[in-house]
Amino acid sequence: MLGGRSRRWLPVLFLAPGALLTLVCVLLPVLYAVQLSFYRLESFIGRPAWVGVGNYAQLFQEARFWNALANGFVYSLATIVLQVALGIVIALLLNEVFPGRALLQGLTVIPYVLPTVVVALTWRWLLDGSHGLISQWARALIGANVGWFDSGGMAMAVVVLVSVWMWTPFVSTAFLAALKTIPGELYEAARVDGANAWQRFAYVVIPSVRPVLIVIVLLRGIWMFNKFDIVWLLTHGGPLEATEHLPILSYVLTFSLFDIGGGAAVATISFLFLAGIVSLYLWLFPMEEA
Amino acid sequence: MNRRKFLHGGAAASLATVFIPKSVKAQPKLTLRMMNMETDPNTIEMLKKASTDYEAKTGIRFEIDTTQPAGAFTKLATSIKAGRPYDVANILFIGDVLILARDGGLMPLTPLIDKIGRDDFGPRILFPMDGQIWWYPYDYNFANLFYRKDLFAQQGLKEPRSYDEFLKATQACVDDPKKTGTPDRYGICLPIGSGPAANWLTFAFLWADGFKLFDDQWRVLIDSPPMKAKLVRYLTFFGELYKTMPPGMAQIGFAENLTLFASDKVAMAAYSGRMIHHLERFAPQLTDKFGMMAYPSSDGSRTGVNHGYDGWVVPKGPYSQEGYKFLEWFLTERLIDFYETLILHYQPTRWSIYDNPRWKAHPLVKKYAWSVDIMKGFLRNTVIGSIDTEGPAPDTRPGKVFEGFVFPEMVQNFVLKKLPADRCVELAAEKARKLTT
Amino acid sequence: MSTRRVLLYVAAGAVAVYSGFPVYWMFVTSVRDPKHLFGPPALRPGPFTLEYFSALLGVTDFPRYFANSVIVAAATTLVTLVVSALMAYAVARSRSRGSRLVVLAMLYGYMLPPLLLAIPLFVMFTRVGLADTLVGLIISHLTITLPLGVWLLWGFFKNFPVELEEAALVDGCSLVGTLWRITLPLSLPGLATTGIFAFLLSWTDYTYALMMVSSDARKTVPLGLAAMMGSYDLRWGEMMAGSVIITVPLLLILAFLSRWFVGGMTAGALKG
Repeated sequence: MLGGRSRRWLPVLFLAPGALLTLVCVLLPVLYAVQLSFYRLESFIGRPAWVGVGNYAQLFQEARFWNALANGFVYSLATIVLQVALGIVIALLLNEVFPGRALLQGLTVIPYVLPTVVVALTWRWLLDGSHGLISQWARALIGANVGWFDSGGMAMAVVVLVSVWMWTPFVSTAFLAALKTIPGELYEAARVDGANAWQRFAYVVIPSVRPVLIVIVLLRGIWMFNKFDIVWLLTHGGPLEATEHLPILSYVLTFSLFDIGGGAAVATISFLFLAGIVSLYLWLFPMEEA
Repeated sequence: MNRRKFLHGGAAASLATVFIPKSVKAQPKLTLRMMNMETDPNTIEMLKKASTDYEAKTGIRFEIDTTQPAGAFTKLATSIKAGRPYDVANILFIGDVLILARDGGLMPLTPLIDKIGRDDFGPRILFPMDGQIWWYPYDYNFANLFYRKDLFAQQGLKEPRSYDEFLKATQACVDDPKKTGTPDRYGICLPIGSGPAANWLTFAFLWADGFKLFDDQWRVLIDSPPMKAKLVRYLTFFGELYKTMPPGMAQIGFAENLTLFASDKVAMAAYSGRMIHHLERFAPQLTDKFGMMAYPSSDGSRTGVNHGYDGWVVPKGPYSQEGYKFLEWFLTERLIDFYETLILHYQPTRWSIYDNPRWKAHPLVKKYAWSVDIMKGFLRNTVIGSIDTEGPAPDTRPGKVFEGFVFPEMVQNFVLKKLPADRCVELAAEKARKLTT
Repeated sequence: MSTRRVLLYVAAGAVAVYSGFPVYWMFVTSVRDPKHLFGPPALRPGPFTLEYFSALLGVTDFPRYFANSVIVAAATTLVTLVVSALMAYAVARSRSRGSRLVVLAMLYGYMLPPLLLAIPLFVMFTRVGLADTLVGLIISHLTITLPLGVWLLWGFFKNFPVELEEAALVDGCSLVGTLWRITLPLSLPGLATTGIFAFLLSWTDYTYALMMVSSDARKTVPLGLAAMMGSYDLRWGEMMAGSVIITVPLLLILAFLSRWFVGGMTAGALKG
């Protein structure tokens, strides 16, 4: 309707503000970050010094960079797997009919709407070494103190579990919606064919929700790889960089060590990696679907 | 029609509020910014009043930004590096000050100091670099040890003088009557996380023991045989001490040291005068049960304390002159008021203050006269040291070691990663070298 | 009752506790007397005190942070609604390739993490004098809310029956009139969802606020709360009280507007 001859300028007008914003506030910063990464810069207003790929070479030689990359993968993978597993379980539960279901559905979404800061604060309070409720329960249960943030493994586990707590509702809600679109007849047909609950799940549910599953896994994977706030607020990347992933490394380089070129290089690497995955995703699943 | 108008009106209104200035009263002729990292509410209150009074006098308003101490250096440095420096600021740790000064970010305060007279200042507090003094230090904040006199008496302990005695004392104070493995009370708490708290509270044992970070040529001495021996001895000692500490030492910042001691979760803790204020407020029943001491050396021959020090700086910027003038006014007119907000914690840096009648007459100074004596004693009887003041002269290099958290990481490697002590020392030396060359 | 039923109820109870307990604990802590705060665990609320709230509201700058958050979130939401509605409509109705390109670019932008953009954005804003301003913060929020809005509304407009619009046009209605009288009212659910999400993203943002704002006068609530974590005196009571203040509006949205909220989540996930 808008493609008519006399109204050719209209779509342009409508698109202009958003396009402008995207250009200035998204495209430009990305290009600027890439440009910054080729310079050595120690202050935000200082004069940059060209080092070409020097920042990158330095990064690739540093164990700290590879550690951050690995941590990013571990965090991303672990949170995805757990979110999907838990999300499916909760969705299946909410698909059943029982009194109070609507209330439960509301409750399950609460973690998702909370600001990251509130989540981080509340969990740090719950896990406070001496006074936290969960610490005290753990002490009573095991008879020994649990150092939640004392070892790299434990710290990563805590960060993963809190992230899962926060974002599973997204998965479970999407899944629930997908489950509701499965026609009842499919279940019936399977039941008539003698399939038990497990088989019904495997052969009716899974295939029907497969497209949603793929979307969710990819999207959440990308997002989790780049979550800054929750990890930063829980552990600052510690102990000893055990939970430091690329976003945190970028932040530390820029604002603690004032190696702005280095921070930009890490950000650029992250961006290229993500752009690659997004391109792959859009190639496999083009935007216009019937 | 109505809906569109409403929508447009709403958008315009909300965007407009962003531009309308917040206060409707008389505008000051100039609004500048102060960065403050003292988080005590009384101190903040006092600073706000000082700012209001100064505005009434000169028409220049200083907006106060209070920041948490751990983020203060980053915030100040970022403001300088972003071209919008704060016009006056207080900051902790001289090492950070010198780094900023070297970078050309600060205005020298030498005239201000000389007007007061360098003799009036105590030892090891001015740190002139490149012939200038870059800050006005307002307190000493020595990190010292607090212990429960009543528990020591119960166990028949006296003030420990060596590592061994110290360890025995903390072990004796661990209270686990039912042998659950999770005591009701631990021996001591000392932070080990990579932050300023650990840098300040955990390493004074080393100064007592004669540890030196650099030689006269600024070579890193960490892995030299004599220093390495001291560090290994310290790590071994600390490892045993760690077993008497409550969980979460890698997570605690400044505040937990206060709360753990006050809630009777530990028999010993490290802090400065703020601890006394904290006890007065939250655990009055302990105010007559605590003692103070400096950190012991390994063999008991000396004691040490860690510098804590806070000072005012004037970042270099378009309004430095105004910041300087404000500071002059503040230090002449309001210094005692400032001290009074947390009098036992802001240990004066000038001899004349100790004789100031108002300061002396404060009820807490009178009540805790014995502790004030001990604090004054630190100035003369102990080895005063800190990571960021190591080396033959004031310089930025130890500050880099400080900001790089070399020492906390060394301890973390030993007690968390359980690397052998030798290896921890080697890694620390490597990192220190990397940061200072 | 069959075992299946029992299991169901047990599972439901477990999920309820799992989801809601931390929030419950937050509320309990925010009103618990300080002398009992550090004691042995007590699940039941009380002894009560309101001192944390009064300290927070009276002594700290928290009210100002709250006001800043409201301003930024409201402005972000309004601008997002207007701009993304226009864009989504244009893309849904036009046939040109250019429009698709714009949306694609926005999509890439959406998939970029805030931190990636925040640092160069901060440097850029500094040079044009927008650093440490609410306007700068609002603009940075738009970079995350606009793509989401376009994404959500594009789907709505695509599925919207074009025939209704064309009928109105044929009947002599102007383009703008059609948009206003037919399209807009029927897209209200989509707009509501977009508005809620835009508000949520802006209200809860920490990363952009951390970089774009440094003065106390312009801090938003997430930043103010996070800053309380490192101070010399630990104030769990006040921190939980602040958390409660920030959370209550969100819980209200969830309670009363859940239909559009949940709808948005599913629409977003089912896209593509």
